[in-house]
Amino acid sequence: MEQFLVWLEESRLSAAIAGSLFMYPGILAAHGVGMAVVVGLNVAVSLRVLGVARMLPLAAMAQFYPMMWAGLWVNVATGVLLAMAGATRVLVDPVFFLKMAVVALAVLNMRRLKRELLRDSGRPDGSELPGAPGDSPTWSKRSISVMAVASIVLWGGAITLGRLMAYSFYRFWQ
Amino acid sequence: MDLFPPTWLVSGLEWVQATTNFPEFVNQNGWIWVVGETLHFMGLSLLMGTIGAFDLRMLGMAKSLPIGPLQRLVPWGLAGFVLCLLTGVMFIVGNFWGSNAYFNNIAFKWKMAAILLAGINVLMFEVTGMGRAVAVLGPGASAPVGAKVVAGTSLLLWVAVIVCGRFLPILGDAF
Repeated sequence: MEQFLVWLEESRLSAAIAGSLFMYPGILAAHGVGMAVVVGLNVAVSLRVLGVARMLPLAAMAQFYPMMWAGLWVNVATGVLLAMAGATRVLVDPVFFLKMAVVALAVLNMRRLKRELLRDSGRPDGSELPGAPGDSPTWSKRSISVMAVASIVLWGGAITLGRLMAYSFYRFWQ
Repeated sequence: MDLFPPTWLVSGLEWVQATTNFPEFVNQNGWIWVVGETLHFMGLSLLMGTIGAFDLRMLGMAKSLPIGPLQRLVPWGLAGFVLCLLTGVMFIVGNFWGSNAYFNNIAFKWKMAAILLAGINVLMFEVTGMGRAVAVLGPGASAPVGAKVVAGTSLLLWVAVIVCGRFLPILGDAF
């Protein structure tokens, strides 16, 4: 395993990234922008679900998801490059694996939330606030609000774990 | 840039360092930096998400949303900005050892300039009445060209701020 990590880190792609003054921070910068897009838009949608700017039609918020997926793909690509370039440090870090687990949960939650947003999108009277009378039982105000809160908590957790990856002073297990 | 940093700022930071010894405290308690950076990133995500959503709508994304209500998300973006400002000040104060690494940092100067320009951009948007004009636009409506220019500039500037921030530890006083 150790040899594989060393091989990854010493590969030509990794060397190109690590060797240039601008490549590695450039990739990190793209990762940061992707983060702002994904987390930011998720939080914006969550805020709406939780009651901010109620005049915004709930189902229409789903139109921001393509931008969110774009941000996510940018972060997957940059993340892979970053993990490769620092393989011996990143791929043995329990904090990294915890972050991946949290991101996975956040993405699953994102997909569920989107499905819920679009579930009752064909309503003729325009009432799209969760919990309105005549709602189908599947769209309960509580469940969509829980997903909105979960989104904020999970993405906040991903950001925190990402930052923790850069520091090692607290790692008592090493 | 000889105007920067202004002497009052340097004197102020020297006073804080002498009185509270905050830089030493930060140096000994690394977790403060981690918490500060985490909050800084959360603040910037909040800013990009809410103000970004508003900008994106003006540029034509998510067209079935009315523009006015989207503006109600903007105060949350400002809260994100304030969080970044507070944590940012903490970074500067906590990193001040006689002179400050940030003041000689080209990336820091560019970052501050970009933030200033973003603020001017918002000011122009409100002062020229564009903000009020787009607030009444409903689902399916296109924003006027001026508003699109403001929106595009806003997005570009905030992305530039993030990128400059990322380069702070790299460029340092290299130039």
